[in-house]
Amino acid sequence: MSAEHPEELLERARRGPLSAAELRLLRAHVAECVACRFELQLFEDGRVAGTARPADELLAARIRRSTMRRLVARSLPTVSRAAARRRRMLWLIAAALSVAALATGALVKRPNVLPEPLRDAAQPARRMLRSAWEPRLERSARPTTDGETRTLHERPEEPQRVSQNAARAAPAAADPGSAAELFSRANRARREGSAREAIALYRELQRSFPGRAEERVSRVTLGRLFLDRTGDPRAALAQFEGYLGSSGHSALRQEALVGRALALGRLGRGREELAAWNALLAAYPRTSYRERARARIEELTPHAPERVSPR
Amino acid sequence: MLADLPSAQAEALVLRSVLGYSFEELAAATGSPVNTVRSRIRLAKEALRRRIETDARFFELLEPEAS
Repeated sequence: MSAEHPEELLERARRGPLSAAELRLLRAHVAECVACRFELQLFEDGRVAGTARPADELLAARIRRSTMRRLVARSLPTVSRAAARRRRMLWLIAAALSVAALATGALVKRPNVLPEPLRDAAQPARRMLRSAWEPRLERSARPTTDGETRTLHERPEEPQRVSQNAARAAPAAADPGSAAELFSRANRARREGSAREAIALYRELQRSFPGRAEERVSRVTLGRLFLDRTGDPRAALAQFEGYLGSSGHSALRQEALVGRALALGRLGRGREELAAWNALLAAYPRTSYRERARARIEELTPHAPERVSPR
Repeated sequence: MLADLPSAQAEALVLRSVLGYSFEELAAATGSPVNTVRSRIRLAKEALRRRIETDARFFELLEPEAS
């Protein structure tokens, strides 16, 4: 197994379409590399969590589990190297299927859990959902006519034909003023280093779409932007607390707790920072930030002065 | 699984994978050179790969909830 991972391709796959050749390269690597699959799954989970509602996440998890169980059970009796490779590939397919299920059929059965932009465009379901989801779930997997499952965001070789119904649904999805579009533009600006533009777009998103999934997630991303890029811990703290105080979305709670502790630290509010790190460890004892949390707790905890023994 | 990684590596991987940070953004966020960030991601992935490939419960670890 090569230690080289195609980081540039992975990064671009997260941001937008890849050419067919690039996709082939990436797919070949991902088929063999469990670490990159894990990374892509993390991203997909984050994306789904950021776009879907809690009920959607539970539904997607159930679909993934049942699909996995079937596929794994089918592959377990074999122990050869080829079978092991096949099992790994099946895992990838299962992950793709779960996203496909989330983006298409599974949600059709429960239109009441669709994100709002899709709720309005839920009929006829499959074609319209596909056209509506693609701008959001850029990597959403879908079965192709040749039986292959596309697991990464693939730019079609030819322009995709869209039905009249789908074409009618498309404007809602591509609406430049929609929450998803604003969120996407803000993220793009942030990645490109345009902090001011990103902040303005996140702010606009928060003003225009309070309570939407994108708005809540933007509180964590904007909080990190204030913290990491513009050095404004007060504004960052407001964002993280806004996220933690909102109801319904908790996928990024750990990140928000960490951000709040970091912001309090930079503001010099030691006692509150100490409480924030403790809150993080209480909620997530095995958090990957635990070393940093423990170190700060140690630094911030007042120690009793050492007793000087009388001579 | 991430909890078993050194925190700097885990943080880099989470910021990159979940929040979509580029290497340059990660470098700015952590105050580290870009090459250090690249190295952290690479080491994190190698550790993950070793862990996943030697763990028979790999699937269960990725799907921890019981149905």
